[in-house]
Amino acid sequence: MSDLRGIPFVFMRGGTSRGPYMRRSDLPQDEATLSAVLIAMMGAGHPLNIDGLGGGNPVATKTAMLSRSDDDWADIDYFFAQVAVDKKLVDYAPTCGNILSGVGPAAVELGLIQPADGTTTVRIRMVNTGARAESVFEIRDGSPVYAGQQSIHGVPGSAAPVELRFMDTIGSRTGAMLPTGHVCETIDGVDVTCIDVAMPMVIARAEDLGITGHESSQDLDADAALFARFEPIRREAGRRMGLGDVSDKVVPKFGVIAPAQGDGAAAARYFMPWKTHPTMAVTGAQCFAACLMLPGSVAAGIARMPDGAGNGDAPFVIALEHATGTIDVTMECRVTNAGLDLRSAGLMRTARMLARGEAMVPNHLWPE
Amino acid sequence: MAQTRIPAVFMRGGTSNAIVFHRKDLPVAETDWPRVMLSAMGSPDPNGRQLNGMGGGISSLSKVCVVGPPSREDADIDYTFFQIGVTDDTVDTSGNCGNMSSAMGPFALEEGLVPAPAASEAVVRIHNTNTRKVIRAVFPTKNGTACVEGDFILDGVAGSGAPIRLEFLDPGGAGTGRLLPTGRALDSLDVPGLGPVEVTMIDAANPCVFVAAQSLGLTGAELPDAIEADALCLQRLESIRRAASVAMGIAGSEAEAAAIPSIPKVAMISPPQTAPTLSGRTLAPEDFDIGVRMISIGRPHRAVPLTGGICLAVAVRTPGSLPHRLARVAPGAIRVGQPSGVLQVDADVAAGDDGTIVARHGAVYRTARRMFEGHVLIPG
Repeated sequence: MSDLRGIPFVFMRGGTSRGPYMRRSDLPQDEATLSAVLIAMMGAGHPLNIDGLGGGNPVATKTAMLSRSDDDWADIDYFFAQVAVDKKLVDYAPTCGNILSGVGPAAVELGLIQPADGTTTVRIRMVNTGARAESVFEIRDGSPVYAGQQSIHGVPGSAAPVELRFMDTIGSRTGAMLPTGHVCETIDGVDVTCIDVAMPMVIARAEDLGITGHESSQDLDADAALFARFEPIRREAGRRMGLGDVSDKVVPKFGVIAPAQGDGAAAARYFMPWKTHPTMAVTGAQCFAACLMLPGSVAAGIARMPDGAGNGDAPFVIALEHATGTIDVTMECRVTNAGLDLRSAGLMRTARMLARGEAMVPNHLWPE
Repeated sequence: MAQTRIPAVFMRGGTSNAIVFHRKDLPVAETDWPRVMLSAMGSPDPNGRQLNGMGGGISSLSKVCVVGPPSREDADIDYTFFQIGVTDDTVDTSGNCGNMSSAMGPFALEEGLVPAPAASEAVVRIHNTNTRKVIRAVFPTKNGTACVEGDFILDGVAGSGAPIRLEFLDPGGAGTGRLLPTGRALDSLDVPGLGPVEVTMIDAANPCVFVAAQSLGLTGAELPDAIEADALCLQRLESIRRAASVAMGIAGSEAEAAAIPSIPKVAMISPPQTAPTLSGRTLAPEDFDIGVRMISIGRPHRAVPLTGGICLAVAVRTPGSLPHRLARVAPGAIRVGQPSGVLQVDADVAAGDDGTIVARHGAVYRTARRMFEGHVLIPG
């Protein structure tokens, strides 16, 4: 018996994150042992994760554990664990939209599903949060296709697209797309749309706050007057959205929308909410896209839309410009007299299998 | 196009990690290697993160090792080290990596490149092709695999592990051709502004000049920040270094020596004493055998570079030298007290046939472990 034991894994980049994807059944069931194994595997507790697969960065210490789902809707259960970098800690509370990009391909590589060649749709239940998503990607000769022309911000080169369609995003926390009952309202003299798609947000036009919406995140963070202007609006909006006193809560988020600066559909800036997001949150992107499609919202008419957008015939892409690039949101929706009938909002991501084999951890952590 | 699968092992060696390939698994044409290695590491990445590969966005996590059959009779394997650029596409073979060298013995054993030892210790002779030097790795084994668990603590790695002793064979004269370039283990240098100073000039793995901290009015327990703030001390150490450079035949004049700042290295040594470390832990005199504060290109080093550690070990084992005089004589490895903690080194020094001193090897200790085994996938 060697001092180490191997755990079958595929090592994947999913979006702008990276980590081992494993079968849940190949790992300890009890949480304490599981945490010990994941900490050792990733080398957590060291700033460079020198003794493990981590890369000294929280985006490179993520892990995914997959299993066939017993849910009526889902094919795959995706259990996410965020391993810390320099602390020996594992957080099972959040899920990760980037790692989600690799879940479909990894489920194929790990033998959990065997889709036919062509475009396949894998239905994924995110165990940590209960959220659901569809992952759409190409299969050739029984294996996921990784090479392709899709570029995403933060990853050099291009790869095959993985389309993620997030389900049940309407009213994620409030139960309604428009929790105040209004498509547009005025708070402190500023027109806002209080909208809950994937994430409750308060969205305003940049020009109404005296900015262009094209600023860098650093410039926005330096603009204390801006934060002072919108925070009371956000708090009042939070109250109206039924979220109570949000003065010390990070939800709802605040967002600003503006006409595109480049080739995108529109420009958007996302606040978390007391600091500007350096790029764009996966959830926020969906909410902005819905707001752009919503008749009567503060964002209606701002975006350049493709022909036929919102007639419900086919999915279409809204390219949102953020501070350092663009993010493509794929919309399946129909604009009706009653508002917006949103089936799913999706994101174009990419994934690549970087390695596969067995991840080695000390035997004594998991005696059998 | 489907990705290409290449068998690979991902290993930590000391305070680095790297992908280790068998030479036979790489493309026959070595001109194809840079593309493969860059892809495997996720380089170049303008974002500096290497998320699209195995790299970790920093030089110590962006390394590749290639292992193959030995090209010389006194070795069991050939090992070539490649430093892979993070944001650029450099693939550099100009130097070896001492840290990754420590992973090569366990790799060779577990991949069946050397027979499993009958006893519980393996010896693997590693020919590093970057430096054309042979390194002997000595490490504990069980059931034909390298032990990972152990009590040895390596600064920079959490926890403890099984020690891997790396013996760098025949380290003498690496920079000057002679172990004792002046022919003596102890010299007195006339240093401008300081007068005569007792030093040991020795060339093992790298040329170094050792001076007692006391000669400079220091205790030798000072931490790098204090030394850095002491302009007079740094200036005197540089004067000693330049005088030594001339005496060792590295430079023809002190002006010329100033233009070669990398060698010789200069270090202050001291006998065992109570000494603080950068981590806040205090070393007791019995925790180490000799104290050192090494200067690297004008700046106090936070630890001891591998070559400097070997040179110090050889110096301690060389009769008549200053380090030999100041060090505690104890059985086993030499425990060096330095700003980051205690580093273990060792050396085998003997009198040659003609009575001159010969360094058979200088040794350092590391730990290593296999972190995954399988394949890496290369686009295209």
